[in-house]
Amino acid sequence: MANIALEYKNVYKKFEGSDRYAVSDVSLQIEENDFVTILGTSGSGKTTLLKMVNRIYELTSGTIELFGENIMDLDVNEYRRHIGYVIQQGGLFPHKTVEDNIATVPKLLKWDEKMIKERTKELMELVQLDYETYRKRYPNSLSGGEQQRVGIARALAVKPRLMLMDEPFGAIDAITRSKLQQELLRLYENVQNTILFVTHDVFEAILLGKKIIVMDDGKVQQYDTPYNILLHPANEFVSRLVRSGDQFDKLRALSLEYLTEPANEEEIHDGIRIDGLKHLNEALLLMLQNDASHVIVIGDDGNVKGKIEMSALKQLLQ
Amino acid sequence: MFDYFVNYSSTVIPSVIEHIEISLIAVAISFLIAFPVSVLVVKKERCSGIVNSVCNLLYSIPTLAMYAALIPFTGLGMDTAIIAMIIYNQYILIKNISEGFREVPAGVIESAQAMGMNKWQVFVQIEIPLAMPLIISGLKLASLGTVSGATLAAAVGGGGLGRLLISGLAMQKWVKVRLATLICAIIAIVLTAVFHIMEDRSLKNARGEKH
Amino acid sequence: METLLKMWEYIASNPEQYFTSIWQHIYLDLISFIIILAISLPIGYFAAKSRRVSIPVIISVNIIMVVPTLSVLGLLLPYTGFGAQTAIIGLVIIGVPFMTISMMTAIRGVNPLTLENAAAMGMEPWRVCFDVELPLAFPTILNGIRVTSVTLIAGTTLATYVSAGGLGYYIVNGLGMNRMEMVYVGALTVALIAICVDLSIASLQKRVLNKY
Repeated sequence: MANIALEYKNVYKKFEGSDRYAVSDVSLQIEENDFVTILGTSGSGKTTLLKMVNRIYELTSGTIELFGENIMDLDVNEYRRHIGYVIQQGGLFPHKTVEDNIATVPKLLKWDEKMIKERTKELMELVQLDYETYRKRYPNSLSGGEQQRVGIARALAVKPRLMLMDEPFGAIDAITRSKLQQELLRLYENVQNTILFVTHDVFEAILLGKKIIVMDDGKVQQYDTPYNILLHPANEFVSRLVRSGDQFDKLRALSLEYLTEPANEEEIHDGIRIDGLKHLNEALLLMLQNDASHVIVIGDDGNVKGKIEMSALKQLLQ
Repeated sequence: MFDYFVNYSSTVIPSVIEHIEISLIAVAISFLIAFPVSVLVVKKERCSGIVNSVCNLLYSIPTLAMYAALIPFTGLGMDTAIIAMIIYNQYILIKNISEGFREVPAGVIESAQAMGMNKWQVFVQIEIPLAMPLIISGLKLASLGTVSGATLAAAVGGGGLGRLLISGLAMQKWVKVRLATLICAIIAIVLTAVFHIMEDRSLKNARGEKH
Repeated sequence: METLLKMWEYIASNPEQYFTSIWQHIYLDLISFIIILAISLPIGYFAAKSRRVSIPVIISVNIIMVVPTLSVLGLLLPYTGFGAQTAIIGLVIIGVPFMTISMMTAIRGVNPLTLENAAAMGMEPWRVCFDVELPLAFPTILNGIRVTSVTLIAGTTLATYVSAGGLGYYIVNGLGMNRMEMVYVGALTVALIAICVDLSIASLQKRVLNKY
């Protein structure tokens, strides 16, 4: 049983001056080391849900527990230092250099100079920004993509157990966004911390999230793996949401492991091979091009991982 | 004019020093009052209406009238002039300083809070540096206004270059008038230059440009 | 309390002079104000549009603003003599810099895209100016007018130094004769006028702002 990183218990949030609940009766558990995306349209409460974790917004009623502890019992500034936070427009400090921005929390925690410098180097490498070139630059001289990389590096500085990300790639052009998404996934594989990622983009939610929380009107509509959500939408809203947009896009977002099932000797022998790192759209393409009813998935160690059946794909695309 | 200065330097120089003295003290105290008030106005929006109205009202009162109002309480002399200047400076200082703080991007403040900076750290490390350009701009305007307004201090026995000015007017000795004006101008120009450099640096700092 | 009584007595003893002073004060202000508008509005407008105009304008403004009001009056005296004319010229010199900058800021503050749009819709240049540009710039212009008026009223109190009359007479002479009730009469009156003017323009500003 994995640890519970974050738990919402009957959480409600109403803003002053408003009659409706921005978030109402949310109860769910986020497992440690899961990458969970929160998907919804504007006003669905997704950002509010996120921002209650680090008490940027205070909850109206209910409890939120961080690794088993009620957040109201903790010293707010102290625990914030151990949560990574990345917002849309970066929130980088314009009057500080890249390295000073990244060093913010380490400095708050009074790390010594040498440690800070080493960690900064490490982090910049992680987000693919050359240390010497970028460290003394200021945010206003960086592109949107570069700024977000700095934002992510800054958030990871003290190896937080939890990362909160609020539509971080929203204001970035499609090409850069795609790159950043891939890098984030790579980072996630490397660092393995718990990530809560808010987005309104269905594709992004499916691509990045191990699990998705679908929000509408302040309530959780469904909380499940992308595959289950696509195959078994909980209600009309979720169904419409996932059917919106390009169906093939969804295939692009899903990795092969979702549909991989065990294969027998014969199937392995005859089957077309596909690289395990590819996504379902490639599998479909391969099957169509070769008029095949299945493909064999090969892992990066060269071994057979299983097969993917055309029928499974058809079921998904319904 | 230069001869006059040389001949009468014993009277002129003390006036100049008095003038600078009045201006410095007035601006310093003005700032000490205006700064916390501005922060209050920004943090508690409800106060801004009252503060604005009061400052506006006080600012519209002509200098001599203000002096007159103060005299029964502070008598004739430098104090009255200084207090009047302090009252006038609130208008421009509060306006600029509060604007400076309001312009700090909310996203930056939020990030700072989310990273675990407490209110004080956010204020000192983030808000103040980013508000600095406007703060300095306010100080610049207040200083110029004070140097200019302090010329009337002499009308209430407060000394300063106004003495030269008024007596020159009364006695129709124009050289006095011109000298006083020139010195005032020089002080103002020096102040403007100094503040301009400070403003420039703080702007570059806030925007993150190389100095 | 007794000062109030003295003040009342003082006015009562010579009401004509009192009202004449008020009238002089307002008169000097109005005339200067109209002249200021006539000068600063066009200059400010063109300065906003062209770099060639704005640079000399800004330089001149900076130079003039360095000179205190009393000095301006004092410097004029040898050339224009005592009397209302000097006061008016002095006030105009004081008021023009600030009003010009206000006008410049106001015009520059209008979104150029809006004007572009208007022209693209087929409006002639003068129509764009009067129907779109000036109305949009008006709130800021009004603010400039407000501050300038208040400055003028304050400056006019110094008109007594050039024998142009005005309420400053009571203040300055009262101080000289050590008759405080005189000082208060002058001070209170001029303060009231200034506050009234300021508040009325302020309420005008509110109404204009509400329209937008």
